[in-house]
Amino acid sequence: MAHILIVDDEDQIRKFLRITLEAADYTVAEAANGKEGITKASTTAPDLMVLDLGLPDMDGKRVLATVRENHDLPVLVLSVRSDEVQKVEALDLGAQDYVTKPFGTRELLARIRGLLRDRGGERASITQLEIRGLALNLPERTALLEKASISLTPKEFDLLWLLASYSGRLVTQRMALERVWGPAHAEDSQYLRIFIKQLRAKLGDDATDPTWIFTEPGIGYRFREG
Amino acid sequence: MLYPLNTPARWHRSLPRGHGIRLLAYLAAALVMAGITSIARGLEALLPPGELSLIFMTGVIIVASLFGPGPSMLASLLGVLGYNFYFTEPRLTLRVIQETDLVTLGLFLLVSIVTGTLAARLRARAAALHRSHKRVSFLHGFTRQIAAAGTTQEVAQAAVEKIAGTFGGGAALFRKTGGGADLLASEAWPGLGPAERKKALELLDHLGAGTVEPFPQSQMPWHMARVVAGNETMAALAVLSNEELPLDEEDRKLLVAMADQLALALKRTELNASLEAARLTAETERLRSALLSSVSHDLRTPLVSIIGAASVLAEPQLAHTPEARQALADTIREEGERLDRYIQNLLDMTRLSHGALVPRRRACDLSEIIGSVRQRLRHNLTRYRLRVDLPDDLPAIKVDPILMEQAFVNVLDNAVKYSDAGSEITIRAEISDGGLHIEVGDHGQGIPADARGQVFEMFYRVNAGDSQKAGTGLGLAIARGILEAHGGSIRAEGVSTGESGTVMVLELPLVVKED
Repeated sequence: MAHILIVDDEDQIRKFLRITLEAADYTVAEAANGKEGITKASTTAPDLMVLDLGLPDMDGKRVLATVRENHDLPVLVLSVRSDEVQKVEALDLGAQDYVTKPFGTRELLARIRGLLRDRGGERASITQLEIRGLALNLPERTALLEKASISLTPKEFDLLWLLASYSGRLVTQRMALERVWGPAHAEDSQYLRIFIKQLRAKLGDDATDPTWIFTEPGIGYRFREG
Repeated sequence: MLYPLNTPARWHRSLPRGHGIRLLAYLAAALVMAGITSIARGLEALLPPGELSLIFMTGVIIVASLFGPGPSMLASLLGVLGYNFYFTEPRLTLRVIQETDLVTLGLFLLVSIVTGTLAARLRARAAALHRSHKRVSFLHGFTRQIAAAGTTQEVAQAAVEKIAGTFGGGAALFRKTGGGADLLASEAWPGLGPAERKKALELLDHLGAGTVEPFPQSQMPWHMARVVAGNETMAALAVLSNEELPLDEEDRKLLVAMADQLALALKRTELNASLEAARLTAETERLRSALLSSVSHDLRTPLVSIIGAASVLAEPQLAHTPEARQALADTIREEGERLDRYIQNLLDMTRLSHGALVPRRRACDLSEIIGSVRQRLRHNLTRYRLRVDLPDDLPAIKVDPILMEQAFVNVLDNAVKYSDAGSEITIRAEISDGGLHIEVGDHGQGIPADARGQVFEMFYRVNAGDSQKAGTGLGLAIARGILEAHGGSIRAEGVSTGESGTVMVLELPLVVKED
């Protein structure tokens, strides 16, 4: 089972995370500050790092940048709601996802599962996906919802494939734009908005009460977990 | 010359008064009398010699009323001499043969001196009246100007500008502080050296109210006046007059009157400022005590449930069924989430009151914001029927999605808090008058019409006291702050159908003014 490094200065939070993660059959290493976190990222060889951005000895973003230099390690950032800017910066620095403090265990475990599913480059080899009645076939570029075909334009299919292959995980606006429209369009968020709207219409998803595509305001989207 | 030279003109006179000007007046007196003499000679054939003296008298009066007492005296003498020379026997000499002529000449001199003096006095009085009228109207203008200024600084600046302009030099206004003096405002002010500054302070100490004193041992024509309101010295006024036009008595009078008006204006702004400060202190005090009561009561309430539920969970014999444990765990989570929302509100309030709330706008769909609000409030909303009615063709809005989400969370949280479980909450939106019009309606207890404006004030509660619902009294104030930061507004209305309930109306402009 996967090994998770928790970097947080609060004893109580580390205790609660350790209990939760061990109950979910993960093994856990702890670090109470940034320096220790950077060391243990090398010595304990974790599969994933849970990183608090507010650390006593150094900026959490610096820990993130240092760790990402040496390891291709998925990082889940713990942030507080008033720190929207920090959160976006952390995502730009290579954090894969975040949970906002305070969070429930269900949410945390879902994020961790989403990030660990990625290991070993399995995603690249996947050609078919099935999520709760939605079946996507990459080579044939077809989408079936409850066995009924939905017709998608090539871009719509690319976007849906991207979201679905990252189901349960955050797809930032920048990431979606770069992957589907190309790096030159990384800032053209209005494209994304329009295509998300079209996808929602075709999936029968209500933006005000979504079941498929969840909006993370100002940050990106999260597709329903399988 | 260290100070700017203005034209030597001043409010009540436009020519310098030197020896030259006085000499000119005497010359003019002589000319007038010469003219009078030739007129008298022309009329000699028509009038008896006694009547001719009246013509000379007329000349003396003209000179007296035009040029004052000195020239009038000269005119009297010249008149006697002229009359003697041309019209008494023997003519064309200054000798006098008849005793009666001597008496006439003596009387003429006496009468002309008396009349001339009277005329000169009349002239002086008229001139004084004219000056006093000018001074009053000038002062009136000055008072009006400094009355229009709102702050102490503005009053001081307006006053020194006007005073410097009036006396053709510079002006500065000081306020005495512990050991020295603060410069309040200055105009064309060359500054004072340390020695002069010291002297100015000494002078100020013995300077009586209502006097203008020259600066001792100064290179420049400095004067100082004390600016006094009642018994309180508000400031000291230093005036630099033009070197060629020193202050005269009229100037001093005007300066004293100006200083008095200035003192009143300064007093007024000082009172305004202290009133404003008192109001602010009271408001801060009110907010502080409201915050304290909010923290002690509203933040503690969820903690009571959390600690209670957790301690029951820790005793297996108390929470023995899985349902009981689930219920307790739910309580802990819900109350914890509530606590989180309170704290978020307190944080947002601080950001709002520091004016640090600058929206990071980007194109967003209202539907997505509402979807995200629903996610955040999902545990609260399960017990309510939420109906969302948005037009399909709603354009994107340029707002800060995170702030706008928070505004909606607060408005919905408020709707939920004051309505019964199972009741319906509606969100409707439409485009009207080029703006986005959003209504969030509930069927709760409603807000009394006279409290609908106040619910958006910080810490305001419709029902005060311990019976009030848990909450910080901040949510709606923050919602309003966020809406206003976006150029929008929020207001509370009653429901039209006669049922109980509240409709929160949110207005957002669709076109964002770039700034």
